[in-house]
Amino acid sequence: MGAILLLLMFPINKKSDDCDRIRLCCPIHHRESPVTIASIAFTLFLIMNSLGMAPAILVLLKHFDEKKQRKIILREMLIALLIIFLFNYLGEIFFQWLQVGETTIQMAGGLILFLIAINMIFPRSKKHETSEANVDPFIVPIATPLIAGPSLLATVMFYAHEEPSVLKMLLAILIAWAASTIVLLSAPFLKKIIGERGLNAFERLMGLILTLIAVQMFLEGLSGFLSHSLAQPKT
Amino acid sequence: MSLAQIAVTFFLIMDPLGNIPLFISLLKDFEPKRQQIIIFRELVIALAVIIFFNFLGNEILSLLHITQATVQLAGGIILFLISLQMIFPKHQHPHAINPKEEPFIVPLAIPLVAGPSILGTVMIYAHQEEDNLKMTAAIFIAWAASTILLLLSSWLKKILGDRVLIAAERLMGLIMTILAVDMFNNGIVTFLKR
Repeated sequence: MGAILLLLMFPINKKSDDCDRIRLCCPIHHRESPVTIASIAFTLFLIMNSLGMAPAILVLLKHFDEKKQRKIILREMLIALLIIFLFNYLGEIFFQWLQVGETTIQMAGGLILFLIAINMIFPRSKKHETSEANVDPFIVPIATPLIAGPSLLATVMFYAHEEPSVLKMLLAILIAWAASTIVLLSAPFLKKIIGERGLNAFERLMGLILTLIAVQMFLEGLSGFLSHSLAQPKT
Repeated sequence: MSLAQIAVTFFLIMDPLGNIPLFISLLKDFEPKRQQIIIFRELVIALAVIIFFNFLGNEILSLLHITQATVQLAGGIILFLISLQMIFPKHQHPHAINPKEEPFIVPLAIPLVAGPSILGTVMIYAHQEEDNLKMTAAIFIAWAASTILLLLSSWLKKILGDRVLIAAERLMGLIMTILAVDMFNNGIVTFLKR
């Protein structure tokens, strides 16, 4: 997984001084994004929070045998992927329509990511109880909102608007989705090895890394906003 | 940042004083000699995990293009949150697992010693600090100090009592708050200078 991510980050991150100068006068056009597939995929993977979700999903599926469990997880993940793709497409149109600026997206996105991260670092007591545990959980609650929840969908919409290349977004989503699916399919095995406490610890650790990504995004927005508003009077 | 500063920060985050009551209650069914062996083994495992994240951190954060200002600002926020948890601790339930079983890796090594706080902080520092040797040395010093305290845990508890341990943990939390704010301020300066 890591090797694939490393390979992907190389070709797409070349920005020269020229590009920076162009970016100052017209920030939206001619912009080569500094965000690589790898970093989008990694962020989305962190937000999907498959390690943190694993215990809840196992409780929901405890009445099924292992083979059926795997089938349900795979089906739910495919549905979640469809929902994510839909919001990826929707995000682009929606924000264009609202005429939201690039710096707004970055600053608001950074704030939202930060709140998501805080939620992962200090998780509220998760309620595992469900009304009918025997019923095959279809779409709700695993596909949405556990996997394709509000935080993930909003983040995908933000990235979709910020990122001009649709192909890159789709690839990033697919990578993050595949990694999460692998984690969830091996959830019973993971729980046996590191236990529920270990999984909680990993969730918090991922929250801490997400904090970094959030602050980075916010700062990029802020410096974009500052240089843009300072450059405005001259033009 | 100096070696001493990094080592002190890591030592505070490892929070050995706060861990002493948990270690004692988890290991109370074993004879003292066996306890020492278990504590030492778990700490060696924790050290390996921390060193591993030290190397991993650098890779992941450079992949994400995290800048210096971000590391300092976010690091300050994270340290602040960790220190708040030390000053206002939540109730911990050590009896959630079967105490008769010998604890292996979970929960002593992970997450009590090598928990998310120390791993996250090590990753951040590893990215900020160019000198790898310095990082490893700092981790080792903090780890050695924690190990000594934890090996002496039953003795310390007898002398100081639970209340003093809790008070000491809070004091360490307060010191960490200062370190956190210092890091955050540095981050603001770095961002404004650019």
